[in-house]
Amino acid sequence: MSAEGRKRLVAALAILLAIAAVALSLVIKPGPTREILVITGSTTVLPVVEECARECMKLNPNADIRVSGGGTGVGIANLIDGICDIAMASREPGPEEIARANETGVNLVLHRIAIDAICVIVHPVVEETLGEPLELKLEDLREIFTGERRYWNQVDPRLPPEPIIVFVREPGSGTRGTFEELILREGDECIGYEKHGNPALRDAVAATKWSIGYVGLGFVNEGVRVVWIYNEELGEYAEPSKESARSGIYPLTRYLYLVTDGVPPEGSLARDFIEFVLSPEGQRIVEEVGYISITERAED
Amino acid sequence: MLEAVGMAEGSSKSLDGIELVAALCAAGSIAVLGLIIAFVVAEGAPALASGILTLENRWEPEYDRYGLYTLLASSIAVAVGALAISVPAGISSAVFVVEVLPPKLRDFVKVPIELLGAIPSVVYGFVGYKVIVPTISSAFGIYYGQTALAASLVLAVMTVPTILSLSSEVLASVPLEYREASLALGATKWQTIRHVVLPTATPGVLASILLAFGRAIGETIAVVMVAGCPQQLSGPIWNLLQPVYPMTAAIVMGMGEAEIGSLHYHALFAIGGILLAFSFAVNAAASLISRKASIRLRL
Repeated sequence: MSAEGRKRLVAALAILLAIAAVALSLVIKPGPTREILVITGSTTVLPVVEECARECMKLNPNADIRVSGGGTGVGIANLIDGICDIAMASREPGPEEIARANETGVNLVLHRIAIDAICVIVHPVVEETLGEPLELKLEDLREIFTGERRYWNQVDPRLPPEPIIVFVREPGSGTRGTFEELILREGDECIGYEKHGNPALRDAVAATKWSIGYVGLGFVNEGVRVVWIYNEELGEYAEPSKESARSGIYPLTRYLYLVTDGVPPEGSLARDFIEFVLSPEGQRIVEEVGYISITERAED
Repeated sequence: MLEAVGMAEGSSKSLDGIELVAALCAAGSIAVLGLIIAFVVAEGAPALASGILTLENRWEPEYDRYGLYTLLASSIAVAVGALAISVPAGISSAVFVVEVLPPKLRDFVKVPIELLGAIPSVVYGFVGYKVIVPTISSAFGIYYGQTALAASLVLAVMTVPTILSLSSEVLASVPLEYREASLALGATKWQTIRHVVLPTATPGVLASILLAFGRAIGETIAVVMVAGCPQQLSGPIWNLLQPVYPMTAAIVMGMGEAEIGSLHYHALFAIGGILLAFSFAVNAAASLISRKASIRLRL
């Protein structure tokens, strides 16, 4: 075949392919267009939103809700860039994020959807040695997590002089930000081994003797033991639980948010979704996933 | 471009369709590489310009402390530790496969070892996390087994196939006459390997080691799962029983939550730039050396 002939053949093939692609896209595309809602952000909030999205799509077959994680930072950045409609956040936006939102004319509106309690967890060997749950004050936590106290006998004389192995979350983690805000003073720095995500941190504590770390309440399992935290106002130690967190007795708590650009207009899918999350049905899902509902009525 | 290529091949012939497609694909790949480099440099430059990157032993983006020593020392300790195991293992298995095994049996040994290189790295990470880490903590009596040694062991297994397959190619391409001449002079088989085959193949073997080093420095997920990730190294760089925080791990740990445009974000891109520079240097050195090797082999 001559060069000219081959050229024609390739051109003809290319045109055929293009036609086929167009035809295929017409065939595959479903008839009615579905309203799309894109949600990204905090992996802490993710399980709640995923379940709510599933329920919401059952109720409204025309809704196409696409949920993905990535972290609070990614979620807020996506919202500012217009890549998502709702960002999931386990902390309030930082000053740089607010500045960037202002630059691009995005108005970040926060919707509180749940309460999360941060649990300090230890390897079971600590509780077995004590014979009772470990009890700590916020100041004890500060000194352990900044490395001022390095051995367990400095925490409680009944414990042996084993080194305290401290696990913390990765930089930028919402859980870490909240935890450090709650226990640190100006100029303090937490020092420890970094773990990516709640399950990884919990598994590290479960696998490492004489270790301590922190996770969201919903992530505690039988492999680790929770630490009771001292409430300075009440003068008593509080066990981390849904009840103690909602009533404010347990000190290490934070809010979880959905973030939108402005208040979503009445009738929009984003508005419907947020209303669903805040409805008794949505708040039941919040509780099922292991967080604490924002509305007390949801508690039966 | 059409004209230029056509002219290079002779003015009468113009570029035909398939060549055009191939040229576009090649140009596309080069463009992607260029864009990646440009993006990493552009996003990393603010970190270098603002001088936030220091050489202190403290990597803690949460407090805007970006000490490169922790990451660089970790990456180097882990990669060197891995090569200390995989280089002797890889080269001796290459010698065994090429020089000792009868050619018919070669594939029975070579293919399984090369398959090690096809296992997804997350699987290595998982095995390392569940098997190597607990073994290290009980063998050395330390509570936290996620150490440089664990990462080195995982990377050693991952880099053996690279060294084996490249080195065995080089060894196999040493001309048969060299061996025959050596044996004819009365040298034993081992003497021939030691004094004739290996010296001839040295540049190619070195190139394979360099590529393995590049792989070890750049490997990410398997390392994150077993390295421990402390914010500072507690011991000297040669202490393999301490947790380490290699550069790739810092990027994985930080990227998800780093605010776009923050110091942390730019610092992570600067680390990415350092990794890119490492792998370019390693690849350039490897290709320089192996170019030299082919000249020597043709002598």
